[in-house]
Amino acid sequence: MAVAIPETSPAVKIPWARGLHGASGIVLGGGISLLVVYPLLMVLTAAVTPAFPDSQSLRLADILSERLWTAALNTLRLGISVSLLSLIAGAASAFLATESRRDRWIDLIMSIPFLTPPFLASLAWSLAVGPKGYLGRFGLLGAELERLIFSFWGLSLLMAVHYAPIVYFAVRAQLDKLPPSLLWAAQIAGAVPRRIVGRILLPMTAPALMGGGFLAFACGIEEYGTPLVIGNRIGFPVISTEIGRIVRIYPINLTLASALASILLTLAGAVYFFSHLLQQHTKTSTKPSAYPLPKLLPAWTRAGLWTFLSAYILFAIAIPYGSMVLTSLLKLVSAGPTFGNLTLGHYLQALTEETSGLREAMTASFSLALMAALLGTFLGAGCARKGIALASLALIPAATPAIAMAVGFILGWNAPWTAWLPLYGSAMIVGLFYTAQYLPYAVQYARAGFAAIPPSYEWAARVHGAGAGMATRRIIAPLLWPHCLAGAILIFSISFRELVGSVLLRPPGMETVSTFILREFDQGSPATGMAMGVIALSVSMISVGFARHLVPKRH
Amino acid sequence: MKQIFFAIAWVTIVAAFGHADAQSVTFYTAGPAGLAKNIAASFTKKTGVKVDVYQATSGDVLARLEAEKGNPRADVVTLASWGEGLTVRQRGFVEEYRSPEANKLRSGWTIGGLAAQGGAALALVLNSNEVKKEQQPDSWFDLAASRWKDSLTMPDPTLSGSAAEFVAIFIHTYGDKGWKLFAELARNGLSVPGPNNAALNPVLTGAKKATLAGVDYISFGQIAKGEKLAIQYPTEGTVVALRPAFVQQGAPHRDEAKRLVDFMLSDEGQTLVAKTFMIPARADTRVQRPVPGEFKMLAADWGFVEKNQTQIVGRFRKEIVEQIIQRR
Repeated sequence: MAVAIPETSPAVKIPWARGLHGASGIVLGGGISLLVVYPLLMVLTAAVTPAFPDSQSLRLADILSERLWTAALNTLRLGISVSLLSLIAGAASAFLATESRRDRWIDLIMSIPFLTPPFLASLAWSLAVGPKGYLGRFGLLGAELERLIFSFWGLSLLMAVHYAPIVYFAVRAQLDKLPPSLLWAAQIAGAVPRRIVGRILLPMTAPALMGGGFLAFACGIEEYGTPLVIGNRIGFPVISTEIGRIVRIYPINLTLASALASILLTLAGAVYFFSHLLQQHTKTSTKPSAYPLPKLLPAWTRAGLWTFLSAYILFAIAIPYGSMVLTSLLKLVSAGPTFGNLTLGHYLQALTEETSGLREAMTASFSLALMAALLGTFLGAGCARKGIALASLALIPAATPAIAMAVGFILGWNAPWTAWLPLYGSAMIVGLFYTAQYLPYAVQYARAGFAAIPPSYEWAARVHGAGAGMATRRIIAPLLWPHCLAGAILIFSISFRELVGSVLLRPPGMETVSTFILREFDQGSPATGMAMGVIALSVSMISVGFARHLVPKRH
Repeated sequence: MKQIFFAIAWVTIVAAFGHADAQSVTFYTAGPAGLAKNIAASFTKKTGVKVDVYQATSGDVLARLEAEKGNPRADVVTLASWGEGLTVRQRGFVEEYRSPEANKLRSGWTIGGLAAQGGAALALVLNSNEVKKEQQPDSWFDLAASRWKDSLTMPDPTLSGSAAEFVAIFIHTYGDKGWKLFAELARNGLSVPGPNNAALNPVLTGAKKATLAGVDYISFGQIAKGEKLAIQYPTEGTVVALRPAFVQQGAPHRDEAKRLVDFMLSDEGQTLVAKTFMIPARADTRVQRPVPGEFKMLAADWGFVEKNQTQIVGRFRKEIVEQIIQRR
């Protein structure tokens, strides 16, 4: 006689737990609404009803202009190509990492591209390519690389290598939970590696792939920095750069900007709905085991994957970081990279100058990013647990350009009915902005994690008399911990170097790392700016590397 | 471990909470951060009033002002272009306070509640390694020659307020002749990569020979550090971008704001401005760089600019920038 184990968590079924479920749901829902929905509502209402008497109202002609149509199509193309490339790069690297013994190193390497602020990376690239760039001067295909980078595929590649870690870490966490017995059984039964990958690995990692792919798409359509530098030169407008133009050059048209942001939201919503439909049928249950994984891939495939990874490292790390370090060592930018022109002076200046500005900026960024990571992970895990409605709500920021969210925060928290709170005008609002903007990472990672926990565990606990709190603490949390930590590290990394929202929301007198470095580029010397960037990146890399040690490993 | 993180995080965050006292004034500025800091420090030393500085690009300052309009936070604002100042004045952001120091400013550098803090000329900035002194052009129209093929940049007027002003005033002065020049430059491989520093960086590294509409005070600062740049003022004249300062309408600390504006326009404030290599607004402040009079200024009809700048920039983008992109 077979007993059917219900697919859903027991929390919803047991009557006495429903009250608790409901209460915590209300609290969580309220928190998310305030954090995410309220600012966005302010932005959207500003789009249709100008908040101030002499603001410009929305004209249909503005929206239907040809340029905006082109931008919208470009955005869609870019989003799709970025997410596909990220999926390929991230999944391939994750498979390789699980197969090889050097997985810790690969984890470390994959943490790095995500820590790099896009504006720094694009600047480093533009200094490296071209006949007079660093690569060109040393005869290393400078001109050809310039043509490659400044093109649609170059743009997609640069953004994809940046977002591949999102997919990578999600898939890694999933693969770590794979029951090796499945793979052994398949091998013993005679399946070729291709079949094993296609029939077992891919379906079992599908939730992670879906989640990561959606995030990569959403990030791809809302990113501002890289499409600005590259897209501007090749005539590739996207919606986020158009919003940037509208909001930065007078006459500033906040209403049009808000309307454009809504287009992005709709786009992402459509893709999310689509991916959600697919995700319905890919619930997996896995249990960790002490057996090692079999060696799946033949030697030549593994060699191919290693080559791929090396190319990735070259593209994502070696060239941009090399260019950054080289620039930071130049005494005079106009004198070029020669031995007589090298100096450590910029580093000394950045670390010791009477402007302890960099240190203050780093402290501010560090603590705010940490706050966002902790708060966001907690909220995200809660949302993922509560069900689809709350989780979808928490995913909205994924497709909101940072500038729209930032404007929403200003409109919302500086409004006559909220200005009395000590929120706007303090550093706290920047921290809350990071939390809101990067909540989707926490939610997606938590959902992939939940998909990997069989409901039977929780039922078993309840049957043995554990309450909801005990079951969560002793069973769900430890199983979810690696996923949540991966998500938290990502949130920390991206909050630490966030630029657009920080520029708009920071209170007078406060700088974050990115705003500080950007200012140096705008008003000082690129060499000093690069030196500051290297210092800030080293600090964040060390922090992330340290945090990685907290991830439990199976072997 | 986690508890320690929590503790550190909350302590740092709580410590980061700022408080605005009664004796303080909030200063939003698009100007150089160093200048803002010096002004703040000197003002506080002189009057005891604390200055909270928010420094960002002109566009970001405008966006923040716009978004905060329902509940203004800034007391004193400085922007990076006179056109922007005129627009915000028209939209009611400017309190019509005329500082007593305004009489000492250069003529035309103040109107109503707007007073220029300083100015920067938009000049031709060349890499002196790539372009020897004899080869430096005398006229804007010399740049259409074939030896400047693929070696010129210019800031994008849709991303840089000063470049937009440059294009508008240039077209106002030269009309169709000006459009012809831009079209020829585009045919000759002019690069329009982005905002001001995106156009200047290739000249710094030597990838390009020169940039049009370069903000000269930045380059003067770089030359003083030893970079191999040269600044050329063509004989027809160039645009001087004035940087307006004003007290915001509805400012929380009105009296302190007025005192700050007075300070910025005083001898002491203007000496600080001169240190950044900007042209000080006061005619009697000592400078170490060329001032209007030593080079020719293109006359600016602000009424024309206000009415037509958007449409001129739009035409520039459609005809010139798109043509450049198609040539690739």
